[in-house]
Amino acid sequence: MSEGSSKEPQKTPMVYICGECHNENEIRPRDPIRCRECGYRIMYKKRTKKLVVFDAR
Amino acid sequence: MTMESPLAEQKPRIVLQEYKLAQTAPIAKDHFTVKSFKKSFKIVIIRNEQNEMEFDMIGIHPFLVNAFRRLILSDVPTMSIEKVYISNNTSVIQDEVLAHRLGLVPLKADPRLFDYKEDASAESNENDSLEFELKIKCTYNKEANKKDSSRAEDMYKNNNVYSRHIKWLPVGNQKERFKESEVGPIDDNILLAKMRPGHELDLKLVAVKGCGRDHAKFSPVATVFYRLLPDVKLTRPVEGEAALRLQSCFSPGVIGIRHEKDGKRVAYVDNARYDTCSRNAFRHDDIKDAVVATKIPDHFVFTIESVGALRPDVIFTEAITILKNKCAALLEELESTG
Amino acid sequence: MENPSLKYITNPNFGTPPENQNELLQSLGKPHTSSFNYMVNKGLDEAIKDLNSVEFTLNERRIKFSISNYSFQKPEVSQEMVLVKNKTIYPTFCRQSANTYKGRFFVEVDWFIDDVQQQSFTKDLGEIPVMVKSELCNLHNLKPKELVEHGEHEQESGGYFIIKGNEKLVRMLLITRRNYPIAIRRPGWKQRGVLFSDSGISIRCVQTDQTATTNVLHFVTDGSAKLMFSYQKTLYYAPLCLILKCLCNYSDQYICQKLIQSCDDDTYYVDCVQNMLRSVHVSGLHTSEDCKNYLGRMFRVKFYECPEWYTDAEIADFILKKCVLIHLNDNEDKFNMLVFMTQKLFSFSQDKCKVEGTDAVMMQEILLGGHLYLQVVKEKLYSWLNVLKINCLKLAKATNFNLSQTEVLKAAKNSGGIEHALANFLATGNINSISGLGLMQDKGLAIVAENINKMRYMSHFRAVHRGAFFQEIRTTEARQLLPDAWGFICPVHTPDGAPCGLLNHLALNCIITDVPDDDKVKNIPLILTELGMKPLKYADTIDLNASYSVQLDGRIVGYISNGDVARIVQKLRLFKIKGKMVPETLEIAWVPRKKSICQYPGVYLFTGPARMMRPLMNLYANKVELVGTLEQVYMDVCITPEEAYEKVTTHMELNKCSFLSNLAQLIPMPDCNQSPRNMYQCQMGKQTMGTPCHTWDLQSETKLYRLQTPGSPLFRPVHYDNILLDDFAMGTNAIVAVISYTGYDMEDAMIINKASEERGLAHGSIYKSEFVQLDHPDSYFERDQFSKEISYLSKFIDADGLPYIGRKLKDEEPLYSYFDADKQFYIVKRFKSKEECYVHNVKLCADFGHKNPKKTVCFTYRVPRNPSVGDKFASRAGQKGICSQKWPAEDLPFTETGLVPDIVFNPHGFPSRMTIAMMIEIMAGKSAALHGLVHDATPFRFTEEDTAIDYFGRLLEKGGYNYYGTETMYSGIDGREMSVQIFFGVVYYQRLRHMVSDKWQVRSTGPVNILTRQPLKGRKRGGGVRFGEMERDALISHGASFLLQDRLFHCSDETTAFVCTSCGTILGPITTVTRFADKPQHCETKETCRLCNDDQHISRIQIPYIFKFFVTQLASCNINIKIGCRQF
Repeated sequence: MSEGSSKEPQKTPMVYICGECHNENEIRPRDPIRCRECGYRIMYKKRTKKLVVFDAR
Repeated sequence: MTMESPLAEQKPRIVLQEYKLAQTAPIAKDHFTVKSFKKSFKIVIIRNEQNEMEFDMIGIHPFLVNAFRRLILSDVPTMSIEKVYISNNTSVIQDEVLAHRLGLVPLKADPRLFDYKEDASAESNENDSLEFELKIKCTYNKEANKKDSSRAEDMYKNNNVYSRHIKWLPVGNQKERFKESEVGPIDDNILLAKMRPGHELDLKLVAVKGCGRDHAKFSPVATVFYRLLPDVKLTRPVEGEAALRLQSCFSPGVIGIRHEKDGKRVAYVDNARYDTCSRNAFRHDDIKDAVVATKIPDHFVFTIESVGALRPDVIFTEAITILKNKCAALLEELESTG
Repeated sequence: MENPSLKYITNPNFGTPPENQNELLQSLGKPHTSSFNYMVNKGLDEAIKDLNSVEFTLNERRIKFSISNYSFQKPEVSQEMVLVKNKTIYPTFCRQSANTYKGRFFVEVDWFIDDVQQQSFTKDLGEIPVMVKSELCNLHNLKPKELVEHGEHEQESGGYFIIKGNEKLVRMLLITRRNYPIAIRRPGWKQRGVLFSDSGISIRCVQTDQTATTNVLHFVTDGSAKLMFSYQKTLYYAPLCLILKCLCNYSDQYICQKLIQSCDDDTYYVDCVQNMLRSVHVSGLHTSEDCKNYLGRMFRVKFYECPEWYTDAEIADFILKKCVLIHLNDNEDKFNMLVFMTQKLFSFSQDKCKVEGTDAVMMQEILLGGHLYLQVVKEKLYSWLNVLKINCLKLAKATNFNLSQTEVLKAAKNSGGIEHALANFLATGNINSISGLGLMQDKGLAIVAENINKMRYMSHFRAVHRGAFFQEIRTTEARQLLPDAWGFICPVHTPDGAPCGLLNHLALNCIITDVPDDDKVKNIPLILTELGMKPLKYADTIDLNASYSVQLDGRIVGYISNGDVARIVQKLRLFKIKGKMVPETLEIAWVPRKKSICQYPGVYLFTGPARMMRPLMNLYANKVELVGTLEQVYMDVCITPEEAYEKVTTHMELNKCSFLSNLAQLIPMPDCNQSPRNMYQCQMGKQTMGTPCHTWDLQSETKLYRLQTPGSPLFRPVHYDNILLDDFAMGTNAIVAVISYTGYDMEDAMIINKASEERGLAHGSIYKSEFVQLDHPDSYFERDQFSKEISYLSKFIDADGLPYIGRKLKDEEPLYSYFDADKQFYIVKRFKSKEECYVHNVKLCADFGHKNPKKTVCFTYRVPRNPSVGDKFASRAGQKGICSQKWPAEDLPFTETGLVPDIVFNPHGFPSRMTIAMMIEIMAGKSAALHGLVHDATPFRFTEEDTAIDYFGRLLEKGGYNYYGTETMYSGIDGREMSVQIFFGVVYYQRLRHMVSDKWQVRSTGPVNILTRQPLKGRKRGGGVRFGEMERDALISHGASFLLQDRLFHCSDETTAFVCTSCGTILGPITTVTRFADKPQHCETKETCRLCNDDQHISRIQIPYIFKFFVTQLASCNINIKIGCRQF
């Protein structure tokens, strides 16, 4: 796992927001899906600063 | 060949009847010549304000008046936001809806100083586009006492995003060409989005020059229209209660009431210009014969309501220029094809 | 509320949850939740009490299992999950993660060996679905503010279950009224046995735990009567007198006297009774004992549930208890009821009273969700006991088995539960029951509460269906709207087409009764006796010919003499209005005796649940009284005080429009429309794009429609404000010109102003959600970081293998990637849709149950759907139309004040539709916009003398417009003033959910059916629209032969075939292929006819493949087809 660290996208942590306590959690792919704070089982993926272009019409 | 038709009382009229229009005399199908047109055509400016203008065009064909109306609606260009680059939007309004909303914000910027963008996908430059940014974050208002108020305005900061939050980013030499006050949204208080603490907008906006035919947001006017000048005549004196009733059948100011010495109230036509031609007088059997409402077929009351990017008189002259160019282009086309 | 206003939306506090919920909106879920609450509080206790125990012999010992108690938990996380802070589960969790909202259910099992009680044990039967907002739901009694905190709407009314994320509702069914003997004539009954007639008295008996069964007393044409009872869906018939004698040990003389009392002048009937009694003796059955033994002996084989040690008499008792008039516990009561039924039957068969039939609303009540659910639970509990028994028997096969506590617990451990069966019932709507639960259908009992918009959603909760059975039969009787439905069933709100008249909706004020207070019910006979009713035991003392029998919930309680009845009924009614001594929901139906032939007289009292009732003003008491369906038939009700007749009229409507349903009350001025238009609007209102919810981020619905720019109608009925529909607005105030312009507005098409559309008119979007679950528990979502395509993939997929939020998705772009634990490599899945859409959100979901759950993700997409040509729009007057063009604003006509219409409506839409309400709306909308008002569109508020048109006309005149709502307009194209005045105003337009993007279908070539090689059907599969026989006829009649050839041949199943011209068959030619070793790419083919052994006469023809198929099929039946060939 560690040798691939040169790749940029891997560094950005994946953040998910708990559906109940709105706490921001970092969840790795193999982790069970649950909030570390409250144990809730629905996690929303957080929006990242990825540019999207829209036509204003 | 041309008849010297004087601007006289003999002009044909359109008579408003109960259910239809009628002509007093057929409109003379005279041949259009520049000479006669020049002689008979007249413009009288009634009102010319910041965003609104009213003027009369007299002695002109409806086709031509309509051409100006259409050109103003669809061909006079303005600058409008066309592309929205969203880096972040965590508010409740959806990206595409926010983008559409931003597109409709009227912008202050003289379109005559910009070029049309040659190709939608081309790189924008200082001569064809304006750049703005909208970066705003909603937070709790720390100064506010929570018990004080439960109004969102007091509890949060930036809970409403207004057009004034749009910031102009000068590109290239734009900083020298324009003053800060010359570029930006016309109205500062257009509500764009509502937010709550934690919500954030991070947008870059690009405005380009375009015309109303392409999208309504580029149209320089809220509305532009004309109407024929109405004329109201009374054929016999109307007195007493009937006079008041007659007055109520027309727009305010059209019919006046004169108090005679003997205490009688008599109706007279005051100013028919702003009559809405509702024909309500025909609903009263006793007064419908007393009034003749007509319209003058070549006298147009033309109104321009500008959105604010250009002054209405400028919009009109722009329309004339466009018409001229179109005619020139047509002539050129005709000549080149022989 | 008296008049509509904008107060609600202009209130600065708009949007803050109110203190309490709106009562009208709460009434939507009320019948459902209260029936479920009944089950929890009372029903299950009674059902368990009534539940048969399972008895069997094992190793020659009598074993008995029975359920003695139960407990039900609220939905929560099990206590073992320590890491979960908040243990309660709320509905929003289940909705979002596609789970079932359920609570754990335990039973306590008592068991006996040889009637010696052993130590009872508790068994967990799994988690069973819980109704939202019932007492078991965690949302029960929450205030609007708390509801919002838990992800619900402030006005949430509940009444549904959440099964795998779907909102499921048990359909309300109109079924036969309980405990009332109905005179029915049914031709099919003649086939039930020898000499059977078509007449009978049917009674649907419902006992206190809502178990139902039907008994019919058939008239047999030899002058006797047979009682039908059913057991496990099989029907049985027994002679009336046999049953009577089984029920009570009375002498023949007494039975005869009972049967003929009050009818002794009818000699035919007296003869029949005597014959029936005689025939029992002819069979050698003389005493009650004899009869019971006989009955038990005959039915023993069919009632295998009874243990073998039961005596014949015990079996007879079992039959009488479980199958005959089960709503009565006492045999004496059953005897009396049967006597009553016999008298009614003979009166009916001799045409002395009228047929009643089951199609009239007065003979109907409603099957409620909670009651049905209870029945299913009861039955599943019984089958679970049987599983327990089978498990015990299985264990007993082992050697030296000794049934002990441990063995029983072992058997119980493997007995499963009822969780799956109940979830399955609600998910599919099918019941799979041995007894049939006394229903006429076993499918379609649960429906999805679709949330297309608020109107659609609300209508599901007020819909009552007549039953799937009637959908198939061709007769229309069940579909008719009968006069007794007034005020209970809405005459407007029913769909057209197949379910017309079968799927109805309750009128707004109609309520469904709940289970009454037992004490109050017990008071009724006492009060009646006090008022002057003669109880049963004194029946001999009065003249029964001149008195009415009084029935309370299908039990005869006494008699009232003719002279007293009016007074007693009136007094009882006053008690009922007070509601202290007797239930308010008591239904007092006095069917009077008349000189002409009428309904069988009597005083029938009903207190039971599931009846339809509605409030009326009792003019005598000047108080509101609830009136039932049978009761209303014999009442004199006026609508307005002016209509009342002195001393005749007893009741008055509370409201002129109370006969309309929730949706019909939202139609503006329906009294001015042609009636079918109102029906259409009820349908179209339910298909409108609007605001189905406010919890957009908390949804995982497959499809949700959203209107971006909704408005509040300017012309609306008060009901709109009463149900706070501004919270869920679903339309747009559009400027409409009624003008025939451009020619693109023919045949109901309408033109939309392009500029208006660009400024946001009727903009909308669709939210689509989809769940992705990885098959293997060890699989996980991740982007392959060592992939060669990493730079390509990272454009679409984040490091976690899921798409970026807000990204635009196009067809065939990578959507997500995961590591497949089975195959041990990464898989990239692509997005498949013809439409571009945006990623709205991505949810990782898991449930609280599993230790190592499969990874599940829910993707929600947003599909922008702004109006386009071909989309459907409608006003609220059933005027629908398709947008045919988006017309540039400068080309549209404009008025003197510079207004350009948003929508151009063709005036030809008016004359044939006669939707005057829409014309009124144009005027009203215009004047409302002009004066800053909201106008009232409640029906029946204007009269012939004071018309709506005059009212709004005068308002327009005040505003300087033409009285008739017309305006001068100028052509946008040539600029001239139009010589006609144009009707111009503001109309609230709805955008319907039918959009071309969902419908377009195009094909020239594409997938074909393997068998016929003809194009497939269906849009999803890329198939075509059927060019059918009638279309073919049209082309033939036009002589368009090339087009015909193209459609039916070239674009369909054209094939090349070989025909042998000498023998004329296409089956003969066979192709031989020769390959050359040196040129493997090339081959030579040669056709020879197998029949002629000749290759000289083979020619190539183009034929439809289906013809070849047909020839082959015929050949299999030894028929040869010869084709005559000629060279041209």
